[in-house]
Amino acid sequence: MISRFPIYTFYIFSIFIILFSTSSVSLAQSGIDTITSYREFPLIGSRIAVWIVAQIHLNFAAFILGVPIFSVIVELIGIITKNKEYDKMAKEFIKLTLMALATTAIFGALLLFFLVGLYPGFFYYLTSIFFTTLWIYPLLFFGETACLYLYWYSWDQLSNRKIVHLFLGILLNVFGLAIMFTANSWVSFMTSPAGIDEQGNLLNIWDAITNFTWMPYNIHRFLGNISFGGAIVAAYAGFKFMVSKTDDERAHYDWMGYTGNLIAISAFMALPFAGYWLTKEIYAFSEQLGVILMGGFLSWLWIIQALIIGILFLGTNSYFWLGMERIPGAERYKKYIKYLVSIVALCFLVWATPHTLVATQEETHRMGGSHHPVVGALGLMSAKNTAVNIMIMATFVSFVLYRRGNKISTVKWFKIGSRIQKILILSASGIVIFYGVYGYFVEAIVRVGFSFFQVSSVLFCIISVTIIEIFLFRNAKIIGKIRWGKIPFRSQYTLLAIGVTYTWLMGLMGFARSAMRQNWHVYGVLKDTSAHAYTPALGYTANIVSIITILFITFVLFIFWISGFGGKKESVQKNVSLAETRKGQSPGIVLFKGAVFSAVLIGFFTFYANKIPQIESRIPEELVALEGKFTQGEIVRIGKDIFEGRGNCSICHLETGGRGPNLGNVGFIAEIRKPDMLPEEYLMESIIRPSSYLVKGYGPIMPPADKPPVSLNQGELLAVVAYLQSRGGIVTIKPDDIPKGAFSPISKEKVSLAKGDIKVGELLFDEKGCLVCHAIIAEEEAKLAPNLFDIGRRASIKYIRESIVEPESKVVEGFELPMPDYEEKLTVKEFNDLVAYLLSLKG
Amino acid sequence: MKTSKLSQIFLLVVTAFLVFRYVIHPQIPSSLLSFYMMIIVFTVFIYIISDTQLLQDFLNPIRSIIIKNKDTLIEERNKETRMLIFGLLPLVVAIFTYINLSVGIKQPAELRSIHPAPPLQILFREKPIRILGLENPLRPDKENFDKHIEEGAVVYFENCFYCHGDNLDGNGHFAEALNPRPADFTDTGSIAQLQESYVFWRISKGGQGLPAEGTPWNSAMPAWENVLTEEDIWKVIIYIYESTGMEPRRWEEKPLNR
Repeated sequence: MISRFPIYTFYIFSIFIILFSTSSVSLAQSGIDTITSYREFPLIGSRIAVWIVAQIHLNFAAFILGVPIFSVIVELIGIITKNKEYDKMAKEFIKLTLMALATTAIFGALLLFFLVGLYPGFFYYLTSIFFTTLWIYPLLFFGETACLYLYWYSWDQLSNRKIVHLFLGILLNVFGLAIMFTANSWVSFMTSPAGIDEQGNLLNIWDAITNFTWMPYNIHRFLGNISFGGAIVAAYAGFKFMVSKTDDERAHYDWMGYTGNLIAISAFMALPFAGYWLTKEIYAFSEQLGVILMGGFLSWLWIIQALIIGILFLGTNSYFWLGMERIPGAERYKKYIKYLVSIVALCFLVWATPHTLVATQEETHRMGGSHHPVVGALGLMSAKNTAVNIMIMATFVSFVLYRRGNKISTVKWFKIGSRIQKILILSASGIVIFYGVYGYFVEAIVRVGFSFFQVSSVLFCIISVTIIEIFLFRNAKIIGKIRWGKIPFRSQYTLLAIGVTYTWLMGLMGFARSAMRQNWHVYGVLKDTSAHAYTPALGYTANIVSIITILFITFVLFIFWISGFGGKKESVQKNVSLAETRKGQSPGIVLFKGAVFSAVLIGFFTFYANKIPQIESRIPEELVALEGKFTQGEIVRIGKDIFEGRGNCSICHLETGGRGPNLGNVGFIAEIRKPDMLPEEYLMESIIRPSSYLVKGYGPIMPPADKPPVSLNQGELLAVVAYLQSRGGIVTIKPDDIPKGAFSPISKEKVSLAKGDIKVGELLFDEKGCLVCHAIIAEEEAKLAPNLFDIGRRASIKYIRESIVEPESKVVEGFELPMPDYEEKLTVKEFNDLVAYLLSLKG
Repeated sequence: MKTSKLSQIFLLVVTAFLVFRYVIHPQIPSSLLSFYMMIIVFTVFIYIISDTQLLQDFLNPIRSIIIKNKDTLIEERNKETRMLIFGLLPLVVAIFTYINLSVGIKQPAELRSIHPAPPLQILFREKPIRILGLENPLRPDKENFDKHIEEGAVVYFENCFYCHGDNLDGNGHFAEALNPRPADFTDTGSIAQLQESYVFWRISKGGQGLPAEGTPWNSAMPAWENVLTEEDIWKVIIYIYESTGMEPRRWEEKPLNR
């Protein structure tokens, strides 16, 4: 089976290359119009289609980039310790990578298809920036594939030239990292664009690549990939452990699961620090982006994340504690478990305490405000940093105790050494707590800096304690060998749980990265104007993330199932040679139990995310206001938005009777209630002078809609009337009734709302003296300023607008004579007319 | 008498519940209480499964009640307990179901983001003002700083103090009637966490200017742009920071390549 894999990969790979070359060319020809175009994916819609495919691709990619990193390290350990077992395991890791490679490529190609097909405008823009890297990327992928195959197939041939083989592995990782760095330049550019001008045109590709969040993403993903790879490998080993038929096999997979988990947790411990750096850079790039991510719309996402991270920490600790049962002598340390579990639980409580509480108004009142005076303090950064650092420390202590399990130190300075260790751990915890508490007494910007001290003291403590530990237990007396495979079965479910939880967490964090941009494809540069531009609420997100997780696990199982074919012969031979065989569980039963177990876990996350109040982030209103003329349907829709949104009419006018009359049939009632008035007049009167036509049984409590606090403008009032008419009556508001640009106050940024009059603009061009300098006939020589005969073809509306308002920012070479600033000299209408005229000059 | 592991752990969970429910004062919201209990139960679960001996000790009392012993005879001494438990179980479930289903007139819990992300730019009386990166224009004027504080105080006591109180702690005359209560500026969780431009946005646009996650219209804060001038607002901002002794949050250093 494996031998065919190069062919598959090659096949997919060719598709990849063809796709790249064709798509970019065809898009380039179709021109800038594609910017706003979208296509709809049938049934589930474009957003979900791209979301699912992208996340599954990313999960696989994380796996195949993460696993080679530690498999090279394991191979190196094998070379140093001359232990064949390590080598065997490293090889098995690479086998898994190999199996997943083709799937990764398939989903990568699918993602590309989807982006080109469903979001052509966005993809066109991204191509226009990153065209160069789009060629490098496939080449890197080619290098990665070649290295992976070389590394795998030369494993046995190069068994006596291990250094050469190791070099191949390192080369594989270099390619892997380069791939990730390239892909990260695209996604980080979407968050924090750089290297472009105000119009979004490329200035410098290197700046665009090395944008502000690029390196933080690289580091965060590098660690995340290792951790994720380790967790998936551990879950795989857990599954294999349970279906193992012999003690030998069980021992092997137990060891593999242990190693996988150890790798996962080691990288995981460093992950919060990389995360802080990333967040800090996001804040530095745009405060608004930072607040949306951490404090605003997405704040509850982090509570779910905290819950998951807490579960991961507890799960890992539990695995270490359970692991003690396979170590003779480890029972000496069992008494510490209860203290460790208390510490972790306490940290977990603090770590997961939300800053923004879900509360009824009654409860809020009881607390005397939105924050709880005692618990509220735990919701802040200082407390959380402290909690996670102590949690990391406790997990580290668990690990140290686990390692000591079967050893008795023979060095003379054991007492002093372990006392130094204790002091180190306690003082590092002390420093962490000190800065945590001190953080409440300093300003925010200083407090953020404190996390550095906390992190470094923990890292210093972990490193120095480890070094002391190594020397303490050199030549230690061994009580008994570790009985690999003699671990309770339920520990394997812990591994399974960790793997599943990791996958879910990846999905959630993928959403966080994408959702913080809200309705932007590229933050601040390219807006998402599709039907899916709004950002969904957490419950919806959790549903999709769960679907992705289930799909991913299914694919992984499928791949592992295939990979099982290759190794079958081997295990049959082993079975014969071993006298002692214990029956393992049948794969079907393990699969069923594992599926039920995972379903419960995933179900729990989904349930919790759906339980909290749901908030969607809708597109800011400026997007709702359309350019130019509206159709009647659009006016009704705008009216509906105001009725349910900003106007707050629906708070009192409920279908089931509220403080105001039910308006379900108001369009019809308006036509008959006052025979001497037109229905639209009646409706308009009732919303701006509500007390004049009270409905029997209702008090005069409605605020006039045109006054503060509602403050609707003329256009908005008419739109509401149109909407009310649409409920049971005939809409008589015509598009012409709405004044131009009525839905938005005129400001420099928003003048685009009104379309100018070309003819008036032509007169103005002469009247305002533009003709003195600018020629508008093609044959005429350019005088003092550029000839504008084809400016409508050459320049965008934005460019034209800005060159009128801020001429000094758009000086054309050769025409250094300053143009007068027209910002103060034109009325908004004149300005729009002039722009419209200039745009009409197509040469 | 040595109690069984089962009852020890049961006691532990109950104690945790009582502490969260009654010891922490004022009472925490029920959503947080259930969240905390979820964590406690989960941790206890992990603790039990992490030790085979403990797991056995924990399960034995349960086993002795519901599982037949080796001689396929149910142990006689547990008969009463078993009958009691199995008799009460449906009742407990019924009560629980009733509590869950009987929704009173109580309004549902809501999630209110206290400090939602500010807009990039606002229109202050039709004038565009960029919030991002904005500093208080009056702060650099060191000479008139005291004067600004004084004038800010006047603005405060003419407009704000009715709700936010003379101690700036959100305990004004009207505070009791408002839900959510007026912001307490002396709390480290309020203005000390924010840039001055953020406070400017909140004062100008009031409760109705909040985005969806801030549940606009819950807050009774008026939009002061209709009453106060830009300068008034900057002055009152200086006043509330100075008189509470809080420092406004500074902007992060800007990246060079943008």
